[in-house]
Amino acid sequence: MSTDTLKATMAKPGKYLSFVLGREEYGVEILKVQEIIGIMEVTRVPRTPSYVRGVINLRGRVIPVVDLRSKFKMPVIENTEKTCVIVVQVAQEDLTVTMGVIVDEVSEVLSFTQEQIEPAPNFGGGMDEVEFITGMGKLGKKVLILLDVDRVLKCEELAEIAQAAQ
Amino acid sequence: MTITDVQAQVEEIAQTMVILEPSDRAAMVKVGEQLLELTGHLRESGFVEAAALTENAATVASAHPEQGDVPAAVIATVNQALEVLQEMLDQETPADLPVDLQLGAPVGAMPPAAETMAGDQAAGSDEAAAVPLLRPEGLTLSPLVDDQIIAEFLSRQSDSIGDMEKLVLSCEQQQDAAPIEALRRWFHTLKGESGLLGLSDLATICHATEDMMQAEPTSQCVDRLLAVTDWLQTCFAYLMDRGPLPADAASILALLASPPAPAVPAAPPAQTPDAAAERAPEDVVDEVVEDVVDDVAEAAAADATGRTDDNDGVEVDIEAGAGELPDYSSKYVLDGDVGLLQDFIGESREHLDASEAHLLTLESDPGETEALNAVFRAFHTIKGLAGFAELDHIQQLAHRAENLLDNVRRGELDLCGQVMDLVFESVDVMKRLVEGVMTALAGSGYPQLEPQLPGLLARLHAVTSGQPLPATPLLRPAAAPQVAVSPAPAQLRQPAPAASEPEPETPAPPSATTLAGKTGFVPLSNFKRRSDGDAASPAHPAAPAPVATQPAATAPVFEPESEEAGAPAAGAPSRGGGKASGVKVKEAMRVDAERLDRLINTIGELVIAESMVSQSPEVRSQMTVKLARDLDHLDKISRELQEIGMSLRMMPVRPVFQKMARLARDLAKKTNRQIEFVMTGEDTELDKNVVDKIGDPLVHMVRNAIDHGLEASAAERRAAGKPEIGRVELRAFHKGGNICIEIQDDGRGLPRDKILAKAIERGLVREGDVLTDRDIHNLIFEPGFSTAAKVTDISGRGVGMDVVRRNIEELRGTCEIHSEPGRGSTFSIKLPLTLAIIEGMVIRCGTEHYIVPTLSVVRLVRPVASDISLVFDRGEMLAFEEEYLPLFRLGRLFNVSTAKADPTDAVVVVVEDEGSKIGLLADDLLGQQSIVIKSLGEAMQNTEGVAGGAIMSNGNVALILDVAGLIRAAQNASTVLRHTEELPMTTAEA
Repeated sequence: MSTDTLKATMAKPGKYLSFVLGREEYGVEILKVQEIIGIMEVTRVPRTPSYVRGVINLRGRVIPVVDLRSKFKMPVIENTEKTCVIVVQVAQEDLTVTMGVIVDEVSEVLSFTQEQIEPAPNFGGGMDEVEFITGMGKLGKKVLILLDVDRVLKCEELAEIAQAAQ
Repeated sequence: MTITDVQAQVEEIAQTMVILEPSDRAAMVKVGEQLLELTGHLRESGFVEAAALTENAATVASAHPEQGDVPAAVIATVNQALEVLQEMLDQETPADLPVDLQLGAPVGAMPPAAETMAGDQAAGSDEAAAVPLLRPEGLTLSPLVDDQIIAEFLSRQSDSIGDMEKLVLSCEQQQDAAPIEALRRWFHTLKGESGLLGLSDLATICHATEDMMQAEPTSQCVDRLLAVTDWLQTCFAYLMDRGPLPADAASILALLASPPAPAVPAAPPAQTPDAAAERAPEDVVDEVVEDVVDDVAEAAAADATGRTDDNDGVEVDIEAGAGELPDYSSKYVLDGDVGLLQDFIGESREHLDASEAHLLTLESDPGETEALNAVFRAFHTIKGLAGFAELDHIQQLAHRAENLLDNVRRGELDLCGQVMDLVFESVDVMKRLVEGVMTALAGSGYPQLEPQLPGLLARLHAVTSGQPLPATPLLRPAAAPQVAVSPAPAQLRQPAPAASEPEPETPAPPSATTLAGKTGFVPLSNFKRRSDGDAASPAHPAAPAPVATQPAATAPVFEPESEEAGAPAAGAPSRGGGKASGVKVKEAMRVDAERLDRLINTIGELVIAESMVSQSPEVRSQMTVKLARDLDHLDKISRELQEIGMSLRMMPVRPVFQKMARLARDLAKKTNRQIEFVMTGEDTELDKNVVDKIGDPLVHMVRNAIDHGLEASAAERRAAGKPEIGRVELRAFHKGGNICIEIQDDGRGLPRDKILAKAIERGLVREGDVLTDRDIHNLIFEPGFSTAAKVTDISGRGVGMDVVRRNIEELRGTCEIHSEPGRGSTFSIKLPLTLAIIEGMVIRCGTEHYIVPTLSVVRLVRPVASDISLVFDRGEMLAFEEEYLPLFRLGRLFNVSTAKADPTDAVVVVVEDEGSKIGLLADDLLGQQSIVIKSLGEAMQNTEGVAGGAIMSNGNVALILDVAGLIRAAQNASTVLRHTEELPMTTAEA
């Protein structure tokens, strides 16, 4: 799997929801976001990849939640008051799936123009997560890592890993 | 006045017309007067037809609006009239013109030329000679009329008819005189023009319409006006060679004459008082229709001799054009009470489904009188309902079937063999008729009329009255000579006795023959006969019926059989009429499924919120007796609400299963196999969507089981050492959070080698590939995969199993095949319960809660140390009722570090799936409750061992265990065992 083929498409200008993971700030397309909820009791689902925290009850619906820190192989921390679940609608093949992503903190909604978006840096091998990055959004001194959330939360992969975990 | 004088006068009018300006209304009025004058002269001279023509032309000439220009149509019409008149006078053959301008005036004898042409024209239409008035001579263009004029007329009319429809509709909305006047003028003009062109049917209809509009407020006859415009449109299309032959004029006439129920005029007033009450006042009905009614009264009175049951008089079918008239559906929708019809549909379906089940019971146990009575009651109820909803054809069929069953009840007939088939067929046809009503109700037009109906009615009657069916030997030949079935009115048509009538293989095209046949316009034929002398010789009824493009000659001809044919005494006694005033109508409401889901979800939220409040420490600390009571009350209400909510979408799988039973029966007959079809779990509830979609796959699977699965003959079965009667079992049940539907046959089993050979031939697998049985079985789901040597009409194309797989995948289910050569196959469909409710046991494992579907639970045991033994020092075994079950610790399977380690302190849930049992070690049992299974979503649905999630009273999600998956995982996956090895055998207790 070469990094080139996996590289996500270039981020489009528009509004992004920014959130914090550790000391880094990330952005997801606002159109993908359904809502933001505070962290709640998550039911662990056995035999799933470790980054799948489990499932939650979203007003009568059961949706899976993914721990983004774990997904990006960052150290997992305890939930804080600021820990949030961003509920996103991700496109999976021909259907839309509702999922939650656990992030440290949600900050704000930012607009980026074409000029403010730069392609993702190339780290070479050894960092597969680069494929999730669609670009870097620059606003003054702030740099946002723009994510392709569809790719981050690809169900197939979840399923595959789930199978492999067995 | 001589011909020459008349000719001169005509010439003069013609000249006036040529120079006539549309704005010159006075001139037009003068022309009208001249024409009237001419009429008088012509009549005196004995030129009756010409007189009629001029009279009509005069009417047209004076009919133009009071203001504004003279319409071009009027001028054209008058010009046409004059041209025709001139030709007539030139030929001096005044009496031979087929001009039928007067309603009630019989169709004139056709001149030879016209006759031929009528014949030619009719060739495509295949009109039945049996009903002379219905011959399309009424739609045959006069040979004397110039083609161009016709073309002009047609294009003009078909353009303006759309406007007319608008006018009609505006009449309905507002009581404005202007559109009504415009309509009247239009019809009047059209009457005149079509009269001139020799389109007597058109003229007749227009005349009748005019009469109707005069007699009744237009707003009340909008439906019928629309029917007329529709019919006219069909006529125009037909005349332009662009459409099929329209329905015969008589049916429209009848429609016009009888406001609420067009075909009811056929019912003699004396016998159906309700119908008579609804009918238009007699004075409205014009001459012909009076004749019609009189004739019907006579005919029916003759028919009904000695009968008390009012329905039997209604021999002329409601389907008078129901199948063919495009407007008929509008009649249903607009005339009948829609709610009533919907109730009728719902109720009839229920009854039909129920009767099917009862009939199947009866087939295996003919002595089951209760079932017989139930079927009888079903038909009786449908009859009543149909009568109520004015669906006479259904009523009639129900009545006939009821009569037949009554004979059975009284022991005069045995419900077996053909009689049984007949009853089944009745149920079938009835179902289709009901579906037809539904289609009509949905506004998509009345569907093709059930072509089997007439034949079926006839056969039902024949059997009821003791006549043998064609295939049976004449058991009681003398009892009722078959000829008696054709009473006087029917002599004009093919005198085919009902009993010998062949069952039509294909639906007859909507030709006039079928129509005439089905409608059975006895009165009109009578009328024709009387007024027209020997227009059509009864001896050669079919002679002028030309057969050309449509093979309608073989179309079913409904014999308007009379009840006295056969044995009237055998008929049913009066059962207090067919009205269903006493029938309780079940209320049903259509609700958007999405709203329903929202409601259910909201109720779920409410229940959770309720329990969160009542369980909260704050409330608990303030608890008083009153508060506790109130909270209990609230809890009760919310639970009830939840139960209702959950039940809303659920319905038993029974209707689908019943269809399968029926299908199995029919297939067994068709393939000459003896089968026993057993169903269990019909009451298993499924989401409505699933029930709706499961039908198709089941059809294919049942077909396969019977056609491929079972041995072809009893001999083959005997040779294989099996009972001669093949057994096919259809089961539905809950299993581990899924709903399973299984079809099991005890036939040959899947031909493993054949499938493999075929797969290799088709390149699906390579030779030498190692395939498990399962792989091989799954090959049959490949599209187009079939090992059948020949394709039958039942199966063999290899489409069916593909359909099965697709539909089941659509429902997110799976289909598995278990097959043993020589022992039979089992197809199991496993469907997820998107919304299904299951009873579940809540168990605790460490800090986590899981739900075990109660149906999978065999027993709960608290093991003692001696019950548990080790294998190879790692696999645990539980001694349970003299067997040793593998024991799996849920905590280890699911990696719960906080789970109890000491089995004697824990609970073993013995679960079972497909006969294999395992013990699951959990920490504690917390309780049992009904739960709604929620899918874990796309990403997680394949998680092994987990069937779904459920929202617990604290708002958290608990996982539902997939017992089958767990057993599979536990048994197959040595990884689990190895995994447990790595864990320390003794963990600290939670």
